[in-house]
Amino acid sequence: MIRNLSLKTKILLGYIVIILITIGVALWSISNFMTLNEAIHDIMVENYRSVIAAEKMVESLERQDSAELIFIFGQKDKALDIFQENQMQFMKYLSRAEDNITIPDEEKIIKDINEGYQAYLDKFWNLRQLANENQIQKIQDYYLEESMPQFEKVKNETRKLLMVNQEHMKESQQKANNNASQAIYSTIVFSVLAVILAIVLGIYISNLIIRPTKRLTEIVKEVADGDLEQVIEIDTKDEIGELAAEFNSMTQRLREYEEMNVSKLIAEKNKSEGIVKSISSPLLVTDDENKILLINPRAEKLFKLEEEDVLGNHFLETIKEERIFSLISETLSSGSEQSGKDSRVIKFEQKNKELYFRVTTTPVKNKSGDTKLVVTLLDDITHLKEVDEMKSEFVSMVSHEFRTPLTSMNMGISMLLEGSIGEVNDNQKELLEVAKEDCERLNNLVDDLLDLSKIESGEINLEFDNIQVEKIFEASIKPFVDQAENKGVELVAEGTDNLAVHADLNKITWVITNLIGNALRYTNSGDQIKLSAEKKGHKVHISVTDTGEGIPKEYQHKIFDKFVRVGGDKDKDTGSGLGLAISKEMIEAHGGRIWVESEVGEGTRFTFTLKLPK
Amino acid sequence: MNKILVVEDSKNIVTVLKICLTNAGYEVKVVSDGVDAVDTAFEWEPDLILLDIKIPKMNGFLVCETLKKDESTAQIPILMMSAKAEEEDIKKAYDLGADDYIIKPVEPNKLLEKIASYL
Repeated sequence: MIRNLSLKTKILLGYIVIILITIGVALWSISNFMTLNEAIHDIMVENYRSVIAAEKMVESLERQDSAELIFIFGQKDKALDIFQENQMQFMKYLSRAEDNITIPDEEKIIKDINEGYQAYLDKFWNLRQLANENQIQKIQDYYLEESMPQFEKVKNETRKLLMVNQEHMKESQQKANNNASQAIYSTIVFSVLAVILAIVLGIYISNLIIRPTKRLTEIVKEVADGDLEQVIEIDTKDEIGELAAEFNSMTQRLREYEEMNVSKLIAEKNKSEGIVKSISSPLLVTDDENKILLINPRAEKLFKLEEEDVLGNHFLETIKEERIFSLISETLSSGSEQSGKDSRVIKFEQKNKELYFRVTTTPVKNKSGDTKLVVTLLDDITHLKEVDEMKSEFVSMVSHEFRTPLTSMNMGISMLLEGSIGEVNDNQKELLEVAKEDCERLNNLVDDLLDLSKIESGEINLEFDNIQVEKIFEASIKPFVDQAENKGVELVAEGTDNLAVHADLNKITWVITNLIGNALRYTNSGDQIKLSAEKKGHKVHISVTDTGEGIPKEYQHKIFDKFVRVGGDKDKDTGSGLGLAISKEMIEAHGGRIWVESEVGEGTRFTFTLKLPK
Repeated sequence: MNKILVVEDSKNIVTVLKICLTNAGYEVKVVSDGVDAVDTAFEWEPDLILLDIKIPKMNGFLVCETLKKDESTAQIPILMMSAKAEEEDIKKAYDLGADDYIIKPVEPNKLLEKIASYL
């Protein structure tokens, strides 16, 4: 029943009980005081009065006795006065004693006193009679033999009354004492009991509040730590019970929310797993300890593994591919995506077939930017590689097939032009020159195509050396000195400040030569072509700048593509349209970069970067 | 009159070379495969051989090797001709004893200068 009460009522009830106990103790103490008071009253009122009366009675008796003696010795009137006075005194106290009979023996004693005193008065009467007869000897004898003994007897009786009352007084005092100490003990016991009860009740009440509060606190802590399965088992109907019920419904809602989130997460996970599994390229995911977390069917097939057997195992334990592992480690430590480079193409041999994969390792970072996962995608480029090889072979074959007819044509035309076979007229000569020029152009095209296919298939060998930039400039300018002079174009190389680069002299010279050749094609008399070099960080920037026609914006981004020519001057050109494409490939093979800046009408600047000497 | 053996399977180049060399005053004999080249070299004893690499039956390298190994033909200058400008090919030719390597296409003047320098 208590469970259904509110906390306030519970506390109030506890206090009421404690107050009741306190009242009980107070009542008990009051009743003890009253008992004591009674005992005191007994002593004071009942006995003390009797004692006083008895003492007064003795006193008046003795005076009467004295009066008798005075009477005997003659002064009769005075003696009678004293006697009568004291007789009245005695009677007064006697009646007072009679009114105050409290002890069982008292009544009899008073009766005896009364009787004895009457006898004493009778005897005094007789004595007075004898006095009238003037018989002094007789009077004296009577006094000694009758009156005095009677006086002694009454006095003794009265003393007895005094004794009895004193005795009773003592008893009453003793009784009062006993009552008092009993009251002390019982009050102590009662108070101790009350205190204990109050403490017990106090503890009970505080437990009523504290125990559920503690339990509540513990569970709130556990819930705060993420254990949403916790339910508070407090089924009281008080405020704490209400709080617990509210809390339980809150955790219930949290649980539902979490379950909802979990199912969302599971759906997300299934989705991503589905995506991963459906990717046709081998893919695997490793954690920051290089343990395999996920592997798709294509990767299982490639590495001849079963997903169940490898999950959680170290990459190297299951897939003994040091090359891929080093790429994963690199991504894990650098935190940047690694892909696209030729060094990342890995060759596998399976069933006597060569397979090529380009490895892309992508870091997956957490909120604080640490790499937690690495996604390794092996892009199957076998087909591309095959196509590439076919293309190279094709280009190579076609080029060679071109050479043979070109050789006969070129030689034939040359011999005719030389006139060693016979004189040709001017028109014939002009026609033959056109034919020869186109022969050369075709020949250059074949050369460039061969170069490009070689570079693209990685067959080109770079002979790196530390070279003075000045030397490169010198070698690049030399073939154009005459041509520039004839055209009225100023061709200059700026000071290089002893700069040196780590490069293949022939290839870089080829690139600059190509750039100067292009520049000459698009400059006119009075223009300038300038070579310059500048150190920037760990790179050297080499530029070929001209004040020629410039390249329109729309062409700038594609001039490094194959067979692209700036619109409108197709006829003017004897180039193959491959020069810049080859230059780009060559610079990239050096680990550098090439780009163009140009304004139509103002000129063009080609810049490429090279590494500083090692 | 110096005798030049031309080993070439392309009919048109043969025509041009023949005119070019004859015009320059050489006696020219043409064969179109490697086997004929070796046979003719032994029988005709030319003063110089223009040897294409890509020829039927027996390629130019083999012809060169065979002729340079035989004492009777070893002293005949052999000028290899090829449309291929690969360094490894050039190196191979010299290793096998070829005296020169001519990359096609070639200017007739240059060719005649070269030939003259070996005679």
